Amino acid sequence: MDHDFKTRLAAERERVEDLFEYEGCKVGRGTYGHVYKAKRKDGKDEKEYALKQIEGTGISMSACREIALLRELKHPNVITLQKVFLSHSDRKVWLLFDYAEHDLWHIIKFHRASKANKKPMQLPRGMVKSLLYQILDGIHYLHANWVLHRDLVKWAVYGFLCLCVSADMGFARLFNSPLKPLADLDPVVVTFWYRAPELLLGARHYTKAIDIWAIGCIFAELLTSEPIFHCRQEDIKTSNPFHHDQLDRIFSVMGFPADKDWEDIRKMPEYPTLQKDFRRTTYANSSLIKYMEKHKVKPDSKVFLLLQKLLTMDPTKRITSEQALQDPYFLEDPLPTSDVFAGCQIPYPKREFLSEDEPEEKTEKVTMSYRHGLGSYKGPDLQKFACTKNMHTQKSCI
Amino acid sequence: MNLAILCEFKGPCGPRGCPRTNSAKPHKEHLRKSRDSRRRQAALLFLTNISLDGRPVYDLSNGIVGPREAESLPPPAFIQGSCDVFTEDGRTDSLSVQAPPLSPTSGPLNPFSGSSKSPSQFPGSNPVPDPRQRTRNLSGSPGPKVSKKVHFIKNMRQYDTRGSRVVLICAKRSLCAAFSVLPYGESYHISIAVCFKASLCKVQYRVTGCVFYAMHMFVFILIALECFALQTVSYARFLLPTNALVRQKSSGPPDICTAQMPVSRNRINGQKNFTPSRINSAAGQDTYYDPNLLSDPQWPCGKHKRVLIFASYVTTVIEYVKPSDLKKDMNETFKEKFPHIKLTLSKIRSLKREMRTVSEECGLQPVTVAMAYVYFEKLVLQGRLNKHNRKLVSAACVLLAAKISSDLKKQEVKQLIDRLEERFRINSKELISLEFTVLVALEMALYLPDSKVMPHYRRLVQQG
Repeated sequence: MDHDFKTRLAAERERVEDLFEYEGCKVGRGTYGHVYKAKRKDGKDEKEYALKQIEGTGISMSACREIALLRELKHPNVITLQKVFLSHSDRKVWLLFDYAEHDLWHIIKFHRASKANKKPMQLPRGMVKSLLYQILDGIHYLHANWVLHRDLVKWAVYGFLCLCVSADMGFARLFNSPLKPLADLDPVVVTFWYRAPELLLGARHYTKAIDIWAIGCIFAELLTSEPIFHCRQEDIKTSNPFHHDQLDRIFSVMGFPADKDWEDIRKMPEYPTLQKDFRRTTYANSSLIKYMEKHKVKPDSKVFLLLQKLLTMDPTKRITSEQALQDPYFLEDPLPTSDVFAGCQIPYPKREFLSEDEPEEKTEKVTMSYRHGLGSYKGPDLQKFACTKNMHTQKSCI
Repeated sequence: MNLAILCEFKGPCGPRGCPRTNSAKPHKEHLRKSRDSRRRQAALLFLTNISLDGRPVYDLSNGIVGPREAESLPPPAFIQGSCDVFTEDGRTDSLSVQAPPLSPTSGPLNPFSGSSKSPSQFPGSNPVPDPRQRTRNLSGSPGPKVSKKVHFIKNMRQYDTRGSRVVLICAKRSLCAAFSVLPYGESYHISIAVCFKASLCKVQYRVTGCVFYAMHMFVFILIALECFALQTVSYARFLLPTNALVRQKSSGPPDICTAQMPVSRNRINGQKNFTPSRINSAAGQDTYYDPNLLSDPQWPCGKHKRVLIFASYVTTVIEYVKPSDLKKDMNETFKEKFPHIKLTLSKIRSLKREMRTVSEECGLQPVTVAMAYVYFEKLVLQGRLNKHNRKLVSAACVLLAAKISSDLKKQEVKQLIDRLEERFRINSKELISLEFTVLVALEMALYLPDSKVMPHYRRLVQQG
């Protein structure tokens, strides 16, 4: 670039450490980098910000995409990138977001733990509806713009807005570039529990319907406080999409799909394995109706009907985010609110600060167990900030 | 460069102009109306026989190729002694170009298949094809327009004919010429291919006694036919943009002298494009970028183009010049238009070629190259490039485009950097350190709208 431009840039450059106070306020750490809770030093506003320092230096492929994509997104349910700091001296990249005290993952974990500790705490139904509505609204915006989320579980939903999408943005892909086979990129994309059956049967491309399935799983979990397709996960890094135990779990909740319900199942790459390993009769007594009835959700309620549409086995028959937003469930009292906590007390703990020199090993271990999702609540330090980066996705980028 | 040939003939009242009358009307008027109706029929037929994609058109009524219907027309009545020009213009405010109606990417039309999909092409699919509908579909032009306004024009200079159809009629109300005005853009090359074969004799028949215009009709037709033969070659670039005749509406009648200067349209364009160097773009600031500007084939013409403007038509003469002179002139003309750009146009183009070569060597997709071009041209138009940084910036553009649009493994990125280092003879450390700056200069807008990328992409693919 020409000299003038460089000089001018240098003169206008603001240094993140001059503008923000964030020392000792680390709230997240992972392969994605570090996340700090930050405040303006000049006191121009009292707002809390999240400051993410991207791991590594320079414009890595994931940083490049994260910045370029977040820059284009503008929706109340999608995190807003406020500022980007490019530190020329150490070539670090910093991203500034609005701070989210609670995220969806946070909420889910909290209720999972309360249930595991035999003090179950149901989420208020109104809150579930508002949460689901905002998730769908956010995903609809992304889908309309052909952005695929890939890892819904990392979303943060808090207070009145912001369902955080930033997490895997580095890896979210704009749909309009030719789709590459998933396996080329990354063997594991969506946490197994939230993986759509077509992915488990070897589907090669990521689709909107896959995101919708994951939303269905989250919806069920918000209603029951337990992961609907909970499954022991031995080897998460397997590159084989076929996952016997996970499919077994899905069928034992949903029942084995009838031929007429999913005609294209025969075309799935792993269909022969499925035929070899599974018998329809094993699941003759299972159905989503029964599963949800156990959790006191009536099969004729609007909640259930929407859940059923989200958790449809055949991806071509699965409801779209746009249709889901029009569902009668959202027209029925209580109506969804823009503040998901409207009228409720917030039982969730605030994020805790991590110590600055926390040994890498420990963090790694914690993250691992959380990834393996053993179901128990590990405490708030697990709560990565909204911008947590999925470890697997991170690994294949630079 | 902007005249493309062809398209729509309108009866004196326009095809929808005259409602069919009932018998209650006086006899005389009835006669006139029915003659109008036949005229209208003939006009429709004429239009139906123009194939816009070069394939033969079948006469809808009898399936025979040819202008048989022409004979049944009554001799055109002599009405007045002068020549009328009228255009059919979709836009009421002809100066607003916010959404150019002919934009290649506006609307869902697939530029590559759009022209072959019109149902009215095939016999029997649509008994009375609406000619507007058809022409519009075929030329890939405006989508959901409601009613078109017909302007009768005595003096063409008063009107902005961009994106409109112009029909020249002679005193006897018979057709002399018809054409559409399309801006430069690759996608038109396909749609411009014309076959006037069927309508040719008819036109001759209709214009007897009006030799002057008939001649020009031939010119148009010849160009059209040649277009058809070569498929992707557009001669539109040889013609002066009609809107060069059009100055600001408020400035009153334009004077001919200035209008005769070549490439005056691009002067306007150039100003639009010139974004004064800035670091922080205010939110509302216009970041207009025209992906066709630097690839516009009118640039090589330099000053060796003479445009003659007559009352009702424009013609361009291009004489032979030595390639080296042409290049020199091109660069001079370019320099005049964009004084803030420190590189010559030929240098800019050679850098782009280089970018393409290195990308292809590394197996990057054409879409990646197209994105790199957009980044590069944006920086060029901002006036950010100079002799010292041009190679580094070109390389940085390729690198950023690769990161954003290709799924590269770490090793592949390394290879790409090595390749860039080698090709552009630059230092990879400098390249990496320039990345930040380039990113900022591009305002981090690395994802681009299709409308910016597609023109480059099409050129890349078409050039093979």
